[in-house]
Amino acid sequence: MSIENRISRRNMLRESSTGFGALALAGLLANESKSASGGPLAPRQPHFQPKASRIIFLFMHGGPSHVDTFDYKPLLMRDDGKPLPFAKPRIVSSPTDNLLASPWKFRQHGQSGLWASELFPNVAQHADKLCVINAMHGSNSRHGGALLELHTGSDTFIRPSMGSWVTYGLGTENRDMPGFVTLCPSLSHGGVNNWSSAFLPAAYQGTPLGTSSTPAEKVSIPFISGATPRLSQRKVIDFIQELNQDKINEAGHDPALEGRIESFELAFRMQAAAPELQDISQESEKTLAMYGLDRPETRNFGRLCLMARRFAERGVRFIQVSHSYKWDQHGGLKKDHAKNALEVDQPIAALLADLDRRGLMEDTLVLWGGEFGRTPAGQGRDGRDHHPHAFSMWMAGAGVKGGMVHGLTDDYGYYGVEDKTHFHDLHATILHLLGLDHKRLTYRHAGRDFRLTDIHGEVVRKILS
Amino acid sequence: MRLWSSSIIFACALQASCFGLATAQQVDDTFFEKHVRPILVERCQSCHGPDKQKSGLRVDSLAALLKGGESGPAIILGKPSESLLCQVIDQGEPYAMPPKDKLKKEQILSISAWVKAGARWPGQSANTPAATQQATRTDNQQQLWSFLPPNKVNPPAVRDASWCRSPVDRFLLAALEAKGLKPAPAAERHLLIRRATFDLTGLPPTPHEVEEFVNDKSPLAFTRVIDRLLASPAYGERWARHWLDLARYADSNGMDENMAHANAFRYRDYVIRAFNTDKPYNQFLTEQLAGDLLQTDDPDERARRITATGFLVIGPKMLAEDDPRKMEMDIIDEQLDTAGRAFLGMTFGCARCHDHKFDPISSADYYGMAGIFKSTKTMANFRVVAMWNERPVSDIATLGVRAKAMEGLATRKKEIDAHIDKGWAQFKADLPMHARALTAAKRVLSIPAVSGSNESLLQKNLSAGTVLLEAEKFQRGNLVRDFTTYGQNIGVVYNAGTIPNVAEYDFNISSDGIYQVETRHAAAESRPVRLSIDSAFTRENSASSITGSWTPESQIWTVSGLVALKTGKHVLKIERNGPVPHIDKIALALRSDLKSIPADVATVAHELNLNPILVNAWLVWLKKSKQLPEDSEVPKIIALDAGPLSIIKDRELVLSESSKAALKELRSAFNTAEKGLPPEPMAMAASEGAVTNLKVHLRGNYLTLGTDTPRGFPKALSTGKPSGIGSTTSGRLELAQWMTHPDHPLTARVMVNRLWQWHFGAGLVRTPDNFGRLGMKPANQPLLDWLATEFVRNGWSIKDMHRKIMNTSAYQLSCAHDSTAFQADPDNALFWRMNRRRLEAEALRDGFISVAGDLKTTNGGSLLTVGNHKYVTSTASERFDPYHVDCRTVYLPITRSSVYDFLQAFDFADPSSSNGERVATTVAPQALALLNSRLVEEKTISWARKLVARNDLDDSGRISEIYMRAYSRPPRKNELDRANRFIVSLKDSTDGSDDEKTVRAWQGFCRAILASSEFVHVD
Repeated sequence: MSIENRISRRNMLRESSTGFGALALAGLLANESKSASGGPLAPRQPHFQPKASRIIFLFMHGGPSHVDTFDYKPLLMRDDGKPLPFAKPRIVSSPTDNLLASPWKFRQHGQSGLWASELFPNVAQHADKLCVINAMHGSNSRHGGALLELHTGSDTFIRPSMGSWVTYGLGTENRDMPGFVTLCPSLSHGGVNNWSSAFLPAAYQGTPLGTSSTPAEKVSIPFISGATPRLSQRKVIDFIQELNQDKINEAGHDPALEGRIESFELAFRMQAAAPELQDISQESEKTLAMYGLDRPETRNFGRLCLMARRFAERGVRFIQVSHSYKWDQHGGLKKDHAKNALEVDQPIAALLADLDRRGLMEDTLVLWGGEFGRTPAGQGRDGRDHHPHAFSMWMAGAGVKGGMVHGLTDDYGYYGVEDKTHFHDLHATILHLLGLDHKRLTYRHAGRDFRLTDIHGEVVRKILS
Repeated sequence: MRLWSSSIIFACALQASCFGLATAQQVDDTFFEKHVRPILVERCQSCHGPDKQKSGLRVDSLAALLKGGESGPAIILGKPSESLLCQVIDQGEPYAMPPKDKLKKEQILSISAWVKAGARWPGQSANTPAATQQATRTDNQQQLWSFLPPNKVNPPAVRDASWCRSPVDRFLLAALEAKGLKPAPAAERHLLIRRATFDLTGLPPTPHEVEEFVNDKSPLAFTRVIDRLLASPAYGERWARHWLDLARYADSNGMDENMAHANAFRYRDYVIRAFNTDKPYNQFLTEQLAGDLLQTDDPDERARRITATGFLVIGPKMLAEDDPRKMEMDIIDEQLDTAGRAFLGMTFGCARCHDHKFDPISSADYYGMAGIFKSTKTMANFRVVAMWNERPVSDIATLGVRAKAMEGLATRKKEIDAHIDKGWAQFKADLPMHARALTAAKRVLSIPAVSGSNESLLQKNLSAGTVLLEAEKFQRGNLVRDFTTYGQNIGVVYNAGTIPNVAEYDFNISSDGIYQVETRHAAAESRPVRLSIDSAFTRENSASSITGSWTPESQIWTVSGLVALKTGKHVLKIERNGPVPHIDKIALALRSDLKSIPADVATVAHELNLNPILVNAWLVWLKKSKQLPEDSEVPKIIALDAGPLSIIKDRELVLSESSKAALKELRSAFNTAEKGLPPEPMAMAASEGAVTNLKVHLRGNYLTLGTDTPRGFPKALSTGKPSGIGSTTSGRLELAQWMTHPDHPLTARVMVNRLWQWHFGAGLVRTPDNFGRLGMKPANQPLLDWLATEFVRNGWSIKDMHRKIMNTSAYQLSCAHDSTAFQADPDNALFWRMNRRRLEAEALRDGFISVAGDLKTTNGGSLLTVGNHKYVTSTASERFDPYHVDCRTVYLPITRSSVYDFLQAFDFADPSSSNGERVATTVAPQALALLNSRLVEEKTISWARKLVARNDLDDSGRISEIYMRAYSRPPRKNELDRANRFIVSLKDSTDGSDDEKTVRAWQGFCRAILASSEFVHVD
């Protein structure tokens, strides 16, 4: 938020506050300057010097094919139609046929010579920023289980989401905003469990903005606006605060009652900040065009990426953007993977460029990927099944090396053979980049200390810059 | 820097002294649990544990380590350098352990540091005899207060006996006096009735109820209030909700596949009824685990008991798990963990992968109990997407209605059968027709057979001159073309959903001739298709065979018939009034061996105006009997048991046309009546399954099995008596009987602690779901034990406990702050005052609706708008939103992956897991919900409109009414003035007509009152 905005917001509060309100305001402004004190979302010291202050997770729901995007497999191209020369996994979601070559051409990009397919021409221009992690793996071959594993580390029990762990560990930098937002998440495949705080206090649950069926321009924070006009509402809030103060005077010391006073002021500030956040009219034509808001196919996801940047600028800790459940090509791979990639490629490239231009790349970690990859063997001649045994994600930005590939899959991209990275390892690494030791970030529940990584997880040190 | 420090540690490790580590971290029980036990369990015990003892060594107790194995003691206390264990894990001498992957440096250091510090093992001492592991357990168990039966205690003596109204007070006061503390003053009466009413019913008291109590000076006034509230149906609606948190109740599955639990509400209504009827808790518990196994002659009671077992079925389940065995074991684990937590305050889940690290629960104990649930049927199947078990639960009224309707159906069925019998008799008696059929059959018999016309020519190879049509390449039609699943690699068609399913193919014939028509299809059930070519050829039962499955490997060729076609263009059509088989190809194979199409049964029957089925029956009989009878023999042959008519399997097909039409009408009437049959109510419920024991699953994995464990209960909690579980029952009933045994140390204690907590906002044990070693000890164990003993003594009556807890001075204390008491006991562990509590989400919502005068009573039932086992939320759906009704919140659907946002904002318990406690956060989204939610908007405007319409009140009267309803007290003078000023000021800043402005201003005032701390909190 700019200085001007901050001042005008204070003026507005002051002008609209009379009587008790002015009194509350004095405490409020003080609070703003020493926001480190109190409240579950107050900023907390990390375990060690962090590389990243926040994370933007671009989630490709459905499972983009690694062998068609970032894991180039020349032998898969050569052996199209031949049987896989080794055994398929014991448990699969459905039978597959012989090997299916990628319909897309791969080529090397940037100084680093990073391989990427022609599905991502714009992202590929940032090849030297990308740290592609091949040989990612999970253990669940169904969307629901895999989503839960990706988001919470467990496909067996309901556990806190990684965003909840991050806000629990670090608090939020901007107390006018939720610390963990998820834009247009799907209500299926685990739904809220993918952004819930489970047994962590509710303050750490993700705030969903819209769902997968909400158009980007309609997404907003729950309850952020109501029927009451602003001026009346300020009067109502001031009156509530008077009543609340009466109660405190009568009751004596009670942190819960005191917390209520602050919660109403914060709510009012959030209401003031939210429209400004969502109002992109101040963005230049050039920026809007860069994100693809001028084209129907990229308009929606472009707007979400632009919002992600605006959240990042405002210090929101964990920002997830979902490209919802579109990447599940059991059939129609050629057409639909191309369509999906077209929708996200330019917006993602724009986000990387924009973050870089504004210096936000220095302390923002961008993560891209789905809940699993897709089988190198075909389902028919134009489809691929779910594949949790090896797939690709990439990171860019704070704390990770650019232009590198970590992990190696076999000749066909079926299994990881070197430097395999499990979801637990991914989680350990994300926490590490944010200055948190995944073994020390614990919460006592039902008689034991829980971690995002349970009893697993190794930080992937080779990718750290 | 890093290099330097690690080399120092390395040097330390060589000497196995490692003071650095020992001083950096105290080597205490926590150190052992965090750094030593996990290594022993995860890296050593698979070979040296309860299941295997390679070289005679086990490492699962201190005594066993000291005793060692074939190579001698594994550790020497305080001397890592002389301890074999430390040598083998560090130097690998005389052998390296673990045999694969050496331990990490820090792990080796941890074990050495632990041995150096004297090898403390919680609950064990070096003197513990190694011979009996059982002894170790007993030792362990004795240290855990909650595993010992409640002490029979008398209320203690107190100095200020006049303060005490009941034994409960004496226990509490004695503890306070011991600390030199005094209880807070008694609560004001309006606050007390507000507290008691919200507490027992979840609703605010009416102004009348408040006035009545405030003015009732009788010493029994409060007792009367308690009795009135306990008798109200609202009591069960409130207290059932507490239990539903523990039962992780939800109207949808959540997890990966969020299917609607359309019948879960019956379990919810059962719980409400159980509380309202004061069902004894031991009975309540037993019914939830094993209600279906309890005998009763009362159908209503039987239905309720079956419904109660929904407790086991309503949990969150991974319904789309490709590994059915994992799915099943995960579901069992969830059931066991929930039952353990809810009933016993124990976390059994930990013991799935290893012996419980803190509590005396072993893996064998876990699989002993898991076997009980494994032997219970709670799932109908483990497919993707799986379906849970449901059972019919008709009450006596429904049974009666259904029985009567079933009788009516049976009568109709008899009529239909009689009609067919009559038609058949007429058919049988038509001897001239049979004589003509005999003639026709003889004629067909005389026609030479055409070779190959019944078997596919194409099964082996395609002959020259064959016209091959790919089914998916139709020119016109509505069938779906599939290339991925059913049509993987081949391309097939299947049904479109709209009827008729139809496809047309244009094709060319290049030479005149007889063609054999064949189709290639796959089908798991018979779906005969009408196949026609131009108007020259029609076969009704083409592609009718069942080939095994719907998938490509079951595709086979079958013959439809022969057709004569001229050179030129033709149209082939397939059609069905229903789903079609998965057709891959249609072929016309040239039969150059045939010059004409020979007559067959169909053509001859057609010529003679006979039913082809009858002609065919005669034909088969002639062939079988090898006779050529004369017409005169027909009556005799027809009368034979094994005569031609015995060949006809479906008698209906040979009835006369008029008889067929009448039958159709009878059938249609039957179907209508059947549809009108009242549906059988179903409940999610358990049944007995295939009874079996489980083996220990090493590290929780079913692929690595250990020893067989008989079904039973944890050893540390058992009296040593056999479980009594027979070989033909799951053991659920025995499990419930074990839990509800009057001497069980946990069951009664855990429940009275919960009841106490729901009354006081905190339990006597502050960890209501964990009475194990990591739980907290009771602040006042004599009181807890006294309550537990009384609970059992009074027949486990919950309402009796309410009275015992509420008819006390302690319950009636104010929330007043006292700095001396606060200094001494800031957490109020001794209950020197009442805890101020924020209303739960349900009480808030119900409170809003109630003060607005809109609350509707209901008799339960479901508000779910989604069919059973259908998705509640899907990727594309709008948010499911059936919440804007004026019934109590307990009746709103609880959908796991999208809990109603208002409830969520106010800390509704996560319905995916058992929760004995609600947290009460104070965060901005709650303020936003109070300011902007549709609920508050609707209820405040409704209340404001009603108030403005009250002609009997002036503005001050309206304000007083609002205060009485919301705060249970009249406004003070300054409050009245301030409120009047506020309403005027708010009206001034509102737009619209005067009436509208007035209503809006009152609405703003109502909103402020309802959002204020005085409403939201209960003192």
